[in-house]
Amino acid sequence: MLRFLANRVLVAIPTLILISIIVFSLQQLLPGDPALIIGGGEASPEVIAAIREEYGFNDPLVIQYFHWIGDIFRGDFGVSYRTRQPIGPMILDKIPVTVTLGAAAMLFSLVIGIPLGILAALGKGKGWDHVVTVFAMSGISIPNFWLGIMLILLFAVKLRWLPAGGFVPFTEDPIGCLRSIAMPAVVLGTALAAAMMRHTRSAMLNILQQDYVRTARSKGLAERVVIVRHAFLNALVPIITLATLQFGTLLAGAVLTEQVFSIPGLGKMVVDSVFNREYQAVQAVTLLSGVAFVAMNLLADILYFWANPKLRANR
Amino acid sequence: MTNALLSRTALAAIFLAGFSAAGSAQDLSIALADDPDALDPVTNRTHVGITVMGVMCDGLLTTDEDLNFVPVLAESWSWSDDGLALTMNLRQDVTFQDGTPFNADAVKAGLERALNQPDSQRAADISSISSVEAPGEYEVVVNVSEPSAQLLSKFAERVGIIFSPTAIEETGAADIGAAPVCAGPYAFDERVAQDRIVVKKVEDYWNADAYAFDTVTFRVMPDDSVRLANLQSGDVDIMEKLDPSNVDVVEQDPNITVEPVAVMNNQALMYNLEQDGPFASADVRNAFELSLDRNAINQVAFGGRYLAGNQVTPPNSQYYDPATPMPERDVEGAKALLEQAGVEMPVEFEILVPNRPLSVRVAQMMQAMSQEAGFATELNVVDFATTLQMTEDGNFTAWGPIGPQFANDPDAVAFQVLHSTGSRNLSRYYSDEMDALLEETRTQTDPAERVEVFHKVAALAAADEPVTYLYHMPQIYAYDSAIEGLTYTGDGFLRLVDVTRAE
Repeated sequence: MLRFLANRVLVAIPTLILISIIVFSLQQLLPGDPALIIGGGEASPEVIAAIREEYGFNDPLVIQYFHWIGDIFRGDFGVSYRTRQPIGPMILDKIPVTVTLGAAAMLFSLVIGIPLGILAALGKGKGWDHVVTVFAMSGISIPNFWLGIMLILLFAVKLRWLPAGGFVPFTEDPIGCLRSIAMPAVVLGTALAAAMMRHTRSAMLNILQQDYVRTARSKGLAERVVIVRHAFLNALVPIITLATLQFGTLLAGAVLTEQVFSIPGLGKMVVDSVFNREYQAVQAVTLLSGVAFVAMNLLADILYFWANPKLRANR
Repeated sequence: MTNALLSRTALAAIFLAGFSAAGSAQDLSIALADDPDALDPVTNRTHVGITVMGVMCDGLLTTDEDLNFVPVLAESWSWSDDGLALTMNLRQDVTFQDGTPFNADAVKAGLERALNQPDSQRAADISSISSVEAPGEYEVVVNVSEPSAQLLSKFAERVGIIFSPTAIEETGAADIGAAPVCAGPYAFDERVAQDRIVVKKVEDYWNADAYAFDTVTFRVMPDDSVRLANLQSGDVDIMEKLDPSNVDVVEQDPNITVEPVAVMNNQALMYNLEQDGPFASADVRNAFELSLDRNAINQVAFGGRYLAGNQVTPPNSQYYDPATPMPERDVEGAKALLEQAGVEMPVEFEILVPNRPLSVRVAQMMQAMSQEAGFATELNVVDFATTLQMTEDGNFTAWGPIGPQFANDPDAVAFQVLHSTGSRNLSRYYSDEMDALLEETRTQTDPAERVEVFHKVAALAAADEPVTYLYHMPQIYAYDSAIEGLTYTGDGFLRLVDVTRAE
């Protein structure tokens, strides 16, 4: 187990270094002189020169890279040139928001996707199956932002049941929190629910044909027990894998969803920072997302190792 | 039983939550199109930063909607006969939001900070100040090296917002923008970057009775349609920067009031006069101008909600020269001018266009119109930041539509663009005559005479045409019709004094 872990971590390190280099270089490729942008277009040449000096834009790229990565290892993500607030705490503020939204979206997708998938599998080729399949295809095809705007128009503007945007932390006001993330979670979770449903359906179809299901049925077990205990629990393994791997999709979806619902999470931070040319903030969030993604994959590997007896036997 | 009780409690909680949202009428929420930068009048660079500071803080003076000066923290002011000393008498019942007394020493310290702090964005605006004195507890004397016609307009803008010297001492000048303390009706309470800024009413402020709301929450919503949806759903009370193409639709909604506020700004096409080629000739530039139908551009691109214009100031301004009216579109006249200039037809022309939907729309119309007059106009649509770099390097033929966003004095929109030393003179327009006129606008303290000089500036700019002015953008606010009493400063910022919400 330890060797396996060490192996995985060792493989992750070059990936992380590569990510940091890519993140850093992407920023350099963006058009425009950052000092001019920070200066706001009305600064005098002296001010521009001072900004270049302050932010180290005059140093060679390699030096700039090592400065940047060195600061990050010391936990210093820089200071927003716009608001003068440190970026590290800003990110810390935003992580719980995106995590709450992501968890709610995941919950929504599980609650909708799994039962529908089971229903579709049980009624394969019949009416239900078609309805669910149409739902799944629409769920995957509808763009996030469009669905978001439609929901806002209906539930916030027309019916005034839910707020059109914003975020209330769960610790402050649980009901307010639920109201504020209901629509965003549905928007973010819809595509995921559709994917979940399709996976559940195919996993269930596969397992329902297995010998042990037939055996269970021939033992005279109630159909409900056969489906839940024998079929579904086994189908759950690929579903869990899918759920873990959807982390990246959630993060990417959060970028648009948070923008539409003006939710102050990491996704909105990335978009706003790009528009405001907050280079350091964009770098920091992109890098952290990359690290989180690698960490999630590592976690998935470990879970898989733990869950799959064959892997353990072969080590 | 327990279940029934639980569900009843939950229902009650939901209702309470609903009612408390409706009952908390004492918060006013304002949707902003951008996240402000540092909330410090000395280092601030953004329009939206002034919107927030304008609600929190009182300045020495302000402007009314006709750009007349209105006393606020300075009760009165007068110039010495030689125009070299401005004496201001301050209100005596004002304290900063941290309790520090607002007096002449604090104003002196504030002005000196704006002049001397290394990263001050205001120093150039007030470079004519030679010294500031505080001869009495509530009397400030500002000495200038030469008469300064635009100084008061700067005091009516960010320079006139004074921060508590105690707070600056404690927080440090570099960080005061993250925890601002000024003299004004609403004190800084909380800021969540890229999300919201909350300010809280100062109960013992001298005119606290004039402010009805306990808190004001600024919500940052860069997307136009998101801002509008939040207004329509009642989640925000006021939004700024309504997209002009949405005005017609929003005006149909009886619950929303749309208010376009005229602002002294302009959007223009700037030519690179240092580049060899046909556009080095003023005739060619004037021909291009003649090929345009500015009213049609306003109608098509902005639904007629902007103001077409041909001068640095809008046609409804007193500084607009009536003797230089906006030319009608004249394709034949444009062709005649091109012939007179002796250039090869069609005249090749490339416009560098910042990649913003409305700007591109305008540029496409200019392209189509000018082609009929003998120009082979191409558009080079580029990211805004890149256009800054390219124009700085002189790597363009013409750039636009582009221009200053707001001003409370024509100096702020004219000098930097048209004077040979102006920081925004990217046309590289060097004219001794223009320089002399612009310098005169700065030292001429007689208002009527100064208006005359600005008329001459407009006439000369139209003849030399280093810039083709296209249109002026009002600041379009939309708000819940229950909000009453909103007024605006002369440069288009919100004033919340005496604003109430009808029940």
